[in-house]
Amino acid sequence: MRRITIIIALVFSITAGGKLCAQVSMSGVTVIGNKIGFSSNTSKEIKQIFRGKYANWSTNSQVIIVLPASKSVSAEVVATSIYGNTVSGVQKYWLSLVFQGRANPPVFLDTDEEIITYVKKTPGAIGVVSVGAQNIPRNMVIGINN
Amino acid sequence: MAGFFQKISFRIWLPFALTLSLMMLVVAFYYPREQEKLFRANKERELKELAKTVALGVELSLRADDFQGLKKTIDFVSGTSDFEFVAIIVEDSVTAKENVFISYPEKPQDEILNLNPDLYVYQKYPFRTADFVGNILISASKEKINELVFNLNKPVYIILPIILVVSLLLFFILARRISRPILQLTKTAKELEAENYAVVIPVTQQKDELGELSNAFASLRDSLVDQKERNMQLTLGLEDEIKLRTEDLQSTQQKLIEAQKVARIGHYEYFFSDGHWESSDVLDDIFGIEKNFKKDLNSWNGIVAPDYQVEMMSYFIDLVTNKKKFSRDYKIKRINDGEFRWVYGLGEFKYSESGIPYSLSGTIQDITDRKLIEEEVKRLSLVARHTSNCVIIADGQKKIQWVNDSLIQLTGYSFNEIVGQTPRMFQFEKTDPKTLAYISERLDDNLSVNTEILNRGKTGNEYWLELNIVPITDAHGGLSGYIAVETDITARKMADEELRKSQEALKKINETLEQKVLENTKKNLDLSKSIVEQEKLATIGEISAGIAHDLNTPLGAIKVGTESVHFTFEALLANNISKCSDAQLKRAIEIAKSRTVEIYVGGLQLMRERKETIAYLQATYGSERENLAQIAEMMVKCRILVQDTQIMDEVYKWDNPLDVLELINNIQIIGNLLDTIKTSVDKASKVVKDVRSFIKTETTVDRTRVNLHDNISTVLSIFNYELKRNINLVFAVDQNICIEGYDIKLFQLWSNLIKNAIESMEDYPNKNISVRSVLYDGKVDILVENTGPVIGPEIIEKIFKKFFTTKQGKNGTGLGLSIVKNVVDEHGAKIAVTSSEEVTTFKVTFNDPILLS
Repeated sequence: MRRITIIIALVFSITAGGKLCAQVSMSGVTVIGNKIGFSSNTSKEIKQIFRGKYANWSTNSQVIIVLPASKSVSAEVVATSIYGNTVSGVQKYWLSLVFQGRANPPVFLDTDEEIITYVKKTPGAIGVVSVGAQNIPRNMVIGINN
Repeated sequence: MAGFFQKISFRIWLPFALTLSLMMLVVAFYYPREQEKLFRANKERELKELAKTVALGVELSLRADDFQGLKKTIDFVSGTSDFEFVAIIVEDSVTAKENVFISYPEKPQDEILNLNPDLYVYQKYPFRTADFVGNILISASKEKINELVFNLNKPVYIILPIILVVSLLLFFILARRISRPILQLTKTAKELEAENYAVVIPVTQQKDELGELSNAFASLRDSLVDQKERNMQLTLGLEDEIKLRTEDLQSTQQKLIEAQKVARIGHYEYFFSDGHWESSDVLDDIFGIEKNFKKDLNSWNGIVAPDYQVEMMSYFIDLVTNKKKFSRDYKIKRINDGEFRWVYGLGEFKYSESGIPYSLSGTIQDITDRKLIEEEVKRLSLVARHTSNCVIIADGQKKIQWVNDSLIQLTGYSFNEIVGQTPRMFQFEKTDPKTLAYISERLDDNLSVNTEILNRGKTGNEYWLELNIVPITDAHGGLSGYIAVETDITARKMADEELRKSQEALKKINETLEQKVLENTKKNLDLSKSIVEQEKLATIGEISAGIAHDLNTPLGAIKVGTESVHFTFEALLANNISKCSDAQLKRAIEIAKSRTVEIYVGGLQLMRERKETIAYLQATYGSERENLAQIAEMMVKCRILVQDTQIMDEVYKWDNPLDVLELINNIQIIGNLLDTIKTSVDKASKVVKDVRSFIKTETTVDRTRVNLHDNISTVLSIFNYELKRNINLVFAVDQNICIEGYDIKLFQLWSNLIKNAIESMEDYPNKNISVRSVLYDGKVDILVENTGPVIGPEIIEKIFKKFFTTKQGKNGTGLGLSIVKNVVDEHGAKIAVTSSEEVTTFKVTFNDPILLS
């Protein structure tokens, strides 16, 4: 299921960009974004974005990070692939960032569908879903370059 | 300043001010403390709540991924004002050691774990998730809290003082307002005390104590003003009275001083203790001493005249011994000019309790002038006493006070029998009541009286007096008495009587003659001659009274003169001659002869001459001679004056000038008296001669040259007595006119005309006779005029006819004017009579007068 989602995402991303994009190499997750100024980026940069390095996009809209809730099924995979940490570690990571006001707190949603819907409606939002997620609009998938 | 603190407004204000300040202090101290305490407790609770909130946020973020909530919580916490930091502290499950998980704002772990309580306050609150346990620590800055506390209390610190100041000010104004009426009343009271009654006291309707006080003040002021007004009036009245009395007193004092000056009375006081004496200005002037004159017993003895000193001393001792008063006249010698003055001293001794006299005080009056008058009076009284005429002095009630010896001799009464009686004592039933009435009438009108009266003496002797009474008036014209001079005219009266008898006889003869004339012819010239002789006798008889008087006057003078010569000569022999040397005697007689002396020289002239003489002697010889003033006085008396210093020097150089001067003076007086006596004798001789020439018979007289002036004046001298007594005579006949005629007949002519003139005016008050000559065209008129009654033309017609008389029964013979006519005819002259209300004139016109060159 997860595999299928990634593929669809990739297809969509090729279609959307009118270009042919390489397949995301971060295992198990698909990054989606809405009007964030780019449709693909390096994994390192993507990881940096998700770790709260930027507060605004190059388009000046606010960076809104959307993550799966810690009790959701994709939480662990996202934690592993993006943060290289455990779910609890991600929580503590965001605790310290928010505590010190160094980043806007991310939006945690329980399911992929909720994440997709949220990103779809919210310009500047960047989210991560499991590879197998359904109904990912093609233009929202962010290509990851190695 | 001290006054401000004693002011009632201050004292009202002070308690309020203290109370208020105390309250404010308490509030300022207590309220911020409570406020702070409350604030800090609140702060702790708030911190705790914040810690709790953060803990909750952390738990929620970790349990439900609600990091939005955590963010809001942190924003909220960090937004609090005093926030310092917040931290998450976790416990190591193994070591139970605390670590700081994170802090915001970031701080070193050590600092957080070992918080400095001086700088921070903090609260902790625990949190717990599945794998995360710890505490939330939240801290606030103590400094900021303190700042907040201060800001919290700041209004208190600002407002309280403002309230305090404003309140104090308000209280002060209030105190002023309360105290104002009291101050106003105090000020008013002071104004009233200073007698400013115009001060306004507000009358108030206030019913409080101040209002009542103010009203009471107002009525007190009114009553004060009223009282003051009354006092003023009383004072003014008193002042006026005092002023009046003072003026009275001053004027009395002034008058007294003036009176003393005028009366020349001075005051003195002598003190026995040290012998000094004090005297008033007037007395100093009397004594002729200066202000600084040393007044003691010695100087006093120098003032008393030398010849009075011994006498005064014994008099003084007598007074002290017998405790009598001092009262006597004595002489002093003035210190400044050495003049001798008479004074009258009065004085009374004051005795101590033991009877010893300690002072004598009284007055001394200069009575020199009075003494001079007294001396003159003495001389006059000598004359009055010794005159042959009787003199009576009576008072205003006609009571006799004094009579002279002549009257005593005449009346036979003694002096004491007469004094105190009235002259009525001399009158008796034969005294003519008409005369007495006439005298009374005249004297009642204060007029003098000249009359004749019959009186009677003690032994019944009757005598006729010619009486001349003069009323004496005092200085104010009031009657003070009478002086009567009486001449014994009994002899003349006897002659009158005899004359009357002979006239009666003559009348009888005349009647016979008339018969014979009627029977025979008027050619009997012998008879006519005899009648002329008779007329002559009658004239002599009528004028004999005058003759007697004319003789009496010089005889009286001779008597007084002789007595005075006798008196003076005795003095000369007894006192003067023995004291002078022969040479002085001889010289004195020479000097006396060479000067004419008047016995009485007038006061002012005498004083002036005396002063001149004193001045000359003092200037020439100095003042050593103590009787210099006396010598000067005697020199003046002897008429040795400063015009003749040669004799003055000669006399003054003698040892005893006073004796010689007295000798000279007495010789002069005797000479003078002798002159008087001689003059009197001449007068008497002339009278006798006049009468003798009148009664010579004409047959032996030839026609000669007669000087009309001399001829008429002889006749006038015969009528001298009547003329001089009460008739105003004008005699103006030229001395150079003579006529050829018979002087005796002319005597008859004039004597008849003049006698008629005198008799015609007998009852007239104004008696005037004029005899004058008018020379013209080889003729001379002699006019004999009188102011008697008008002679009617029917009388003039018959006036020169023999035996025509208007004096029928009054001694008129009717012969006088017929004789006149005869004499006029014998001289070839004419006579005419004119008469009017003013004057009656007999004009005799002689032809061919002879004028002496």
